[in-house]
Amino acid sequence: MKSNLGKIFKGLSQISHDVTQFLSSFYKVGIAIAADFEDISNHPKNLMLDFESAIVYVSSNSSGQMGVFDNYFEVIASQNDVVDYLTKLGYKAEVIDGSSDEISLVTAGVKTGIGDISPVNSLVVKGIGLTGAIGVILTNAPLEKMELDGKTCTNCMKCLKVCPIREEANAKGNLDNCACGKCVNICPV
Amino acid sequence: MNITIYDTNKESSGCGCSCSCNSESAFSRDDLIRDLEAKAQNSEVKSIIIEDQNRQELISDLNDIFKSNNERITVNKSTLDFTLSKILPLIVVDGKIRCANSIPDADELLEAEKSDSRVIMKSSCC
Repeated sequence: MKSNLGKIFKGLSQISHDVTQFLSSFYKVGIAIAADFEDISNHPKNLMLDFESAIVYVSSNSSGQMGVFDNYFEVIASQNDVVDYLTKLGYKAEVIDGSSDEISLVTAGVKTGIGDISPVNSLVVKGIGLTGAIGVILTNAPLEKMELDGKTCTNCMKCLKVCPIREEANAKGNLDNCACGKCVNICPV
Repeated sequence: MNITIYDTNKESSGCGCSCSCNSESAFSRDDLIRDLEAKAQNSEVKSIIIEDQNRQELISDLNDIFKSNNERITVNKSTLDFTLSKILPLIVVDGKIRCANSIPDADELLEAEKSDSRVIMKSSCC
């Protein structure tokens, strides 16, 4: 009860809408809720005890550099806008770094319905294939889930055929040797 | 030239960023300062370690830098740590951002200054 005192009243539907507007420069934005993560071991609650929602956003990366957003400072600015906005409403909001061991950004992307998991364990997004760079913000604001259909991967296995670290679909592989970008370039989605 | 390197004392991976990318290209802040002193002798190189800074002053300094570089980004208390994790090491030459999130070699940095551009972010960085 006490933690709610500082919260400025605003409808959750409006907050969810505002958050996606702050991130409108991204190719796709999705929101997943706590219940979406119940079947996985690295639940966002490990990072934020009162976690309610994950905001996930993805952008195509035309530079070809894996995991790097093209407009670096603008990306940080958009994320800061969301954190600022939610904080001012009295909620917690935390941007999750791609190097986090506690939560998989790809899993979060799948849970929001932004995309699908590929045979090489990266996120396939309709229209940009495997070129997407993903970002995640966790919050204790109970946002409205966005209903997106992430089923995208055609299972053509082209990415797996060129992958130097995996012989079987969704095998873990030695990630220290994962930076060739061949899968990114060959994905037809 | 006035070259300012904003950095942290936290351990970083080989390329100078703060993720675990395990990049093999390893230029340390000390390497860069040494090379700049040799290659750009009329320059003043200042290293600012953010742990030693007053947070409010740091926020103000960063916002001034972003504004003068026409970047929309602003920082405040709630976004400072995240922003620092993404931009450090940050190299500013005569007020212009020339490199973020990694330590370049001196030639890359001087070329960016000469061509009024920024050092391209390295592959595999966070």
